[in-house]
Amino acid sequence: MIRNYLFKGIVLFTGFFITECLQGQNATEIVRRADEKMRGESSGISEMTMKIIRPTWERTLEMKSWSKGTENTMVLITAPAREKGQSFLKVGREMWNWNPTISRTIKLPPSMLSQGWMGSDYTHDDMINQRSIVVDYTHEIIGEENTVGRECYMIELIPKEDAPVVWGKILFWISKKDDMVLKSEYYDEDEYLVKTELGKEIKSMDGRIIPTVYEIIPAEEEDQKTVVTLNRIEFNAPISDSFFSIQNMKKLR
Amino acid sequence: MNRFNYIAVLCGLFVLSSLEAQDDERIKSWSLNGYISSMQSVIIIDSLEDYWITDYLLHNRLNFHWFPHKSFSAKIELRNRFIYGDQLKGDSEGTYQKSLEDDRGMVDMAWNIASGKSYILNTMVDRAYIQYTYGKLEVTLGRQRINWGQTFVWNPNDIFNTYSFFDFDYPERPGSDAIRVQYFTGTASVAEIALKSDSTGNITAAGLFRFNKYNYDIQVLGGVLNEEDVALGLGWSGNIKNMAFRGEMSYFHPYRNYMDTTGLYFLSVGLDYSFSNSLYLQFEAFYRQMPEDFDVNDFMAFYSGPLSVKNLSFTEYNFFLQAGYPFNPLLNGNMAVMYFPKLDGYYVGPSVTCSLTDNFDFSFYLQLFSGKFGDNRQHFNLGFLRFKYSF
Repeated sequence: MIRNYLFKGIVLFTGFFITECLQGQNATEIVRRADEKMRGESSGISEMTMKIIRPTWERTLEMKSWSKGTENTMVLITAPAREKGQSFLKVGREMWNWNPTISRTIKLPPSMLSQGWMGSDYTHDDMINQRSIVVDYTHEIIGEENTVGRECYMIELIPKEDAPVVWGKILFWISKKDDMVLKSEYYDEDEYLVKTELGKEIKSMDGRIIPTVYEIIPAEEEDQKTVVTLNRIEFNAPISDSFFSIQNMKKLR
Repeated sequence: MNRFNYIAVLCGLFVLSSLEAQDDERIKSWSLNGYISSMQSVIIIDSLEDYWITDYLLHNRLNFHWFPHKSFSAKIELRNRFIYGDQLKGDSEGTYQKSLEDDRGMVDMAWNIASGKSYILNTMVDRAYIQYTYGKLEVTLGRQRINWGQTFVWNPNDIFNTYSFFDFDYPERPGSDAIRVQYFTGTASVAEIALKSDSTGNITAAGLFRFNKYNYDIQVLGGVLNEEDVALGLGWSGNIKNMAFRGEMSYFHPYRNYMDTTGLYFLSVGLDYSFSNSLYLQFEAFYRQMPEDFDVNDFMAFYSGPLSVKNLSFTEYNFFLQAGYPFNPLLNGNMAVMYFPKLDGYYVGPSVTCSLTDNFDFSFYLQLFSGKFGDNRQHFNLGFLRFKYSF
């Protein structure tokens, strides 16, 4: 009898434990899949246009980016002319900036991560540190919701202790079908909503169904936004590790 | 080798190199970019009631880059300047005119194409080099900028091209006529040697090794400066918590009569930090040992830029603080101050840059100097209005 109860108890407990794990893993797995889908499981090359839109004016930035694994990212600014040729390299936790005007590679401090990316509503962290959404946060499914006509999981991301990230919390709406992040909300350390990102214009690119336009709307200025359009994306392009170096960041084109 | 031979050799190399297709066919094998700016400046020596020295500069930069093959590239960059104003009118002996044509490189590539009593049209080639890459090896030959700086205002490690903080309109700086061989030993590490010759035929040659350890870029360098001094240096860039921590140390010692002469120590140390609201703060302190015969009588003597790494500042101790803030993505404000204890003097430099369109900027700069030279307090004030179109 006692043995039976014990057995039941163990089964129940293990079952509960496994479900908990699965739940946790599931959320992490979904975030990982969504992340890998956009970036390629091993690597990715993309070209995008970023428009900073304000009620009375607009500015455009263009860039090309390369990434591999969770550790390596390189970004080349291709427009406007004034910034063209500047590049950013992130390897592990370290970052460098190549400035062709002064022919110098500048090592950037971690505090630079939270700064606006070239004046947009994106931060450096968003642009070159995004992969950390898988490794630097814990993930939990907190609900399900229909967003832009698609069934989505709502997943909460909380940064792990000492993770070098700028957000206090992130909420993702990831579509059940096709693993697309269709909406995200970024909160600061005091849990105030800072900005909302929406994934739009779902299309097939390099064989994958993905949102190709992203809109960032700052929480406190709703008449402002930054719109990023993916012009080209190449998943799992072969890139060697040595590509991500201060030697190569001067040669990007 | 005269300048025409030099250019002929460059052109020859252009033609001789194989025209292999790029890996990615959408990428052009050449690029042309640059800017054109229109700048009005004023110098007011002591008070607003004095004569103002006003000048105008129409400045055009052209960067032409050619990539015929993935391991070979060639770059030519030049600046054209059209100048008129009081400085030229007051230049009865022609020293200002001559200074514009004065190329300190081995090859003379600065020309006053046209000039009159009131104007000058000047062209200057400040980059003209070919670069060959073989794996991790990179060889660069010709006029190039070799920038070994780690800090932002005073760079005692930057022994090939001296940087001038005040010359904001020319961040590219003149190049060095040099050969540079670099071997990239890792993600952020490089071993290199470089050799340059200047217009007097004097050679500067040095080696540098930069490596990345404990999240720091660390560099050591050693060589000969201007056929006069032994130069030794140490530099670093890293961070303390979230704040960048950078520094450069150099030591220069005449190698003739080594025992009878004394060396000079230089040290610059800097911190910089970005707040999450994009406010950027930067601090730098610089110490230089003064040579015995060193004598500066006014700010103007130094303003146009140090001619040598051994002359980076007016005084022994120098302190710098700068704050930059984007009021919005179109409007950037910046405030730099310097303090020179020896002169009981200061520099105050507020500026704003406003983006008018994607490629068109407007800037306003003030540069205010004050300090005591001997018993006299001197003021030296400059103002600049600039429109700049980049392409």
